[in-house]
Amino acid sequence: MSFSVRKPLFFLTVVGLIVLSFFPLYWLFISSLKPKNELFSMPPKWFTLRPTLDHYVAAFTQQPLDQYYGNSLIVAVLTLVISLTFACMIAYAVARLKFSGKSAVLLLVIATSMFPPMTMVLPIFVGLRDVGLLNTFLGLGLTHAAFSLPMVVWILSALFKEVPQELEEAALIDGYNRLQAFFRIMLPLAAPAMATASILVFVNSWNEFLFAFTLMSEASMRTLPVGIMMFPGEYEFPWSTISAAIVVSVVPLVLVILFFQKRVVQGLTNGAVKG
Amino acid sequence: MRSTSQALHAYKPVRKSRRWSDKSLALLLITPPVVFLLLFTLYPIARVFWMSLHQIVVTQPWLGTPFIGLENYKQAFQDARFWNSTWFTLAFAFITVLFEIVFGLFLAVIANKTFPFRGLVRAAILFPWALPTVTNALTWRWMFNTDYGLFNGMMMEFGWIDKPINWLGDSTLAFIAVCTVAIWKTASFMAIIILGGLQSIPGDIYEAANIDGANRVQAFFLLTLPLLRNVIMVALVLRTLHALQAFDLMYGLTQGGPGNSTESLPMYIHTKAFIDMDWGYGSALGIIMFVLIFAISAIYVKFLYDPD
Amino acid sequence: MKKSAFVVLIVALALSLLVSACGGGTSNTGGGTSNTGGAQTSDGKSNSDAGAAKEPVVIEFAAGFDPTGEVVRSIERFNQSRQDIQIKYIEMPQVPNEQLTRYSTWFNSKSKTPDLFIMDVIWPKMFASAGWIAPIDEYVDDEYLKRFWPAATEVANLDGKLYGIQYYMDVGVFFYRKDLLEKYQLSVPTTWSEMEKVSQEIMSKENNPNLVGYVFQGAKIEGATINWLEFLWGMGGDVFDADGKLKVDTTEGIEALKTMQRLVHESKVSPISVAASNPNDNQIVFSNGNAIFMRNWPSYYAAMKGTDVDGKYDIAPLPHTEGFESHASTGGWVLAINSNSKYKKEAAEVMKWLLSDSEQKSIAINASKIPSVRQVFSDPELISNQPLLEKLQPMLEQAKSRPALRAYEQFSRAVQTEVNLVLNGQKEPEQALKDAQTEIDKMNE
Repeated sequence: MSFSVRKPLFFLTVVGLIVLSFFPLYWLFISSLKPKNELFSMPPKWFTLRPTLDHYVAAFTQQPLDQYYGNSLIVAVLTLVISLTFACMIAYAVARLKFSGKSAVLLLVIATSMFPPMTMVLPIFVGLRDVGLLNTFLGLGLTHAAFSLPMVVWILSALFKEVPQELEEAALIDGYNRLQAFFRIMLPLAAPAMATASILVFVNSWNEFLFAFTLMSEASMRTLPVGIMMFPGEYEFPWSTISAAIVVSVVPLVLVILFFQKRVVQGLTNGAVKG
Repeated sequence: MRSTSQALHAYKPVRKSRRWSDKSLALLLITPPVVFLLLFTLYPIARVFWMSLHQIVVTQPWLGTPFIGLENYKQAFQDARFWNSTWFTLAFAFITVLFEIVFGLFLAVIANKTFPFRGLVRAAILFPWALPTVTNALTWRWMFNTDYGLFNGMMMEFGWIDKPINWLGDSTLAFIAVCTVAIWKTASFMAIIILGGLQSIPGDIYEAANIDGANRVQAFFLLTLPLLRNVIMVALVLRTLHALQAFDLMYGLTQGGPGNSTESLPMYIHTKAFIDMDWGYGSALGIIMFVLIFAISAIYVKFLYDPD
Repeated sequence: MKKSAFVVLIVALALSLLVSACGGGTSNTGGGTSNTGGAQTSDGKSNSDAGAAKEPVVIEFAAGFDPTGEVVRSIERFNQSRQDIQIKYIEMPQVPNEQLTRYSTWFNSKSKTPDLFIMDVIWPKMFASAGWIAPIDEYVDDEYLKRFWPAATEVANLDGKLYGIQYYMDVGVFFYRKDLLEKYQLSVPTTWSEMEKVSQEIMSKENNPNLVGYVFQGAKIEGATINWLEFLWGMGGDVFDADGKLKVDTTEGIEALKTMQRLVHESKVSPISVAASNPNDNQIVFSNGNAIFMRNWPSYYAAMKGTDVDGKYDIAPLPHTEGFESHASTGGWVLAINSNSKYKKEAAEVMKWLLSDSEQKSIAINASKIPSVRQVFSDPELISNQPLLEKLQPMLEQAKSRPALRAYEQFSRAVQTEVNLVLNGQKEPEQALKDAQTEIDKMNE
């Protein structure tokens, strides 16, 4: 294919992709700005001549969304830290150390994510209640971490392996101990993998509903997804307010994704895996 | 190269007393996370297994909770609805994962190229996945709605159809709708994992291939794909696990309808355990699901994992 | 670069551990450990200043989130008027299934809280069978019960014991476009065949290609069961046979389902989209001006103000089959006491307070709910403020409760699945109800 045809084709594809990925979010966004009586008009309109911020105001006044934001953030960060720490420990051991039972460990780790979480709701609820961790960030963070751990372990194991062992060996010879070697050599080179895993863990925790709902019954401890589910009525579904709440709740995710995506690229260009 | 470092080791005085041996270090590192997992997931799973061997119907406490061995499992295998939801779940998982890998690859390759606004494109690609499943399902339900939904509205306005399409009321269309939403949402998840792998492939390999006379297509199939093998497998396993456990999507989009045609196995488990309060049976279904997922993952790992 | 990322991580770890240690949950009231109910859980309620000798009993009251804020105000009124009992509000989502998941988790783990809560009208027998709710016979007498609509006290009257009273009611009603009826000088239909004729006439004469006759709920949800029951009751049928067994594939049952099928596939006064419609979907179509008649809940009366059909609609009792009477289904929520609660007596007092005339009046006026207390309906302030309530009285008299079953959800699921398939044109009524009956028979084992 000649170059002059390829470029516009590529460009068109990219634009098409953006539209395809974006339109439901855009639809929600525009719905959150439409006055109520325009919401379900047919044929549907992609714009509105009378935008209003009423629904955003309503969303924040009917429910303390800002508080839920903070709660979701704390839980997500906690989950991230716990799962990354534990996952690094296992992934490093599997990728670098010699011991028998590696496959057993990996299998054990991933086996835990093969179980439908909803069947575990009751035992986990009772367990956390008995140690007093209900309605605490730690309780929910540990739960989210437990469910994220398998995924992170697998991603890190696969990608820790790709970092050549010689670099660490060199550091060890230079007199560093393993921990220092890990932080100085392995971690920076595995940054893309860590960033990828971080995005996944953060978003999973942010969007998780079932356990957040079950373990946090106090209104002040609610996370965003649970807060958003307070809006649907017994029969009504207030799309205007909910659209506003969803748009608001997705913004931090977008920011986190953009932030970590940059890190993925920078990790690559700074400590490149040289053949 | 390994032998070089081993050789190096051999010449270095080993300060055994100050260095942890591999084994004890491994033990130290692995124990805390494993204990954590054992407490959090293995203990509940064990309890669920135990419950599956008993008859536990919460709304009939006068029956007690007698041990009934494998009765629940027998009942499951004779339950038409169980088979129905299982086939649906398998079909759904297989089809969506297949499309997601293809699209994910495509998206990752595009996102890997250098062009202006690359960051924006990357972010756009990730948007679908950032939406929480439940609200996503409900949004699509709105868009698919026969009377006032976006799709019918726009198609009628463009004159493509003159009667509204009953998207969620027709079994086949509903299945397509469910798959479409899943693929839309998760192709980007695949893309981000594959992108991570793509970015660790050094560019010089392609230069070398180019010098050897390979064109881009050949380079892709003969170089890129094999190098991505492990990464794709990780994505495959993770995504299949996820697809087999899909609950929120069907619950929000079709409630398992029309009839029971889009009811996934997790949905059925939820119904049995939480709505019908038959914990014994629900637990058995959960265990069966576990075995199913385990089997499928084992097959993947056996055929695709290259521990190299 | 990498070092800073690492530092960020450590700081985040420290911060989150710090926050979770201090800022995390003040109490475990969601779980009900042994310190609930006691004054330790007081958050904001001053019980230490007044020098009161006794600490107030805290009753945890779980109820769906109320957007009007009336429940919160109600609780505040109570808390200010009493020293010995204080109410703590546990806000729940409004969607019944979400509540069921939560209640199921709590009560299955023998949680002592909430002490008082409200349950959907279809749950009493389920909860009572599981031993989750306590009988309240010792707290109320016959005189007291006379204040209420019959359905309000009957719904939780099981096996000779009373397990709860409805906090507020609901009833299915028939919405109609009075402007269209006036335009063609037609009267409000009282039978299904009349409704079909009127719909067809208006549909053919109006210029609106999107106009349909009658919209109702036929998606695979509780609404499908409710709608079928209303057709069934409206032709003198019921789901219990002479021996008290649950039977749906009766002549009347099949006839009811056939009527629904006819509306969609023969006379075509109902669009096929009813097979995927919930109450909200119906309301959207109606308020877009695209439906002449709608079966829905009275709360939509107020909700549709400000839409395109404002001022153009009114309500009437549901149509029935010739020669029979119209019976709509009840709805609403029932107050009940957790059988593991340590403070059942106090919870009963809170219950009675919520059912007092003044509170019932205020939830009617401020939250547009339908009171369960009959005499409140004749209050002049209520009449002027909520004229709708007068129109609802005859429907409340005739309303029937859905069957009280231990496994109601299973019954409803069997029915709603089949109704959904028939409306979708994928099954015939006889086969559908036969299949439903097979499912239902499995329930009794």
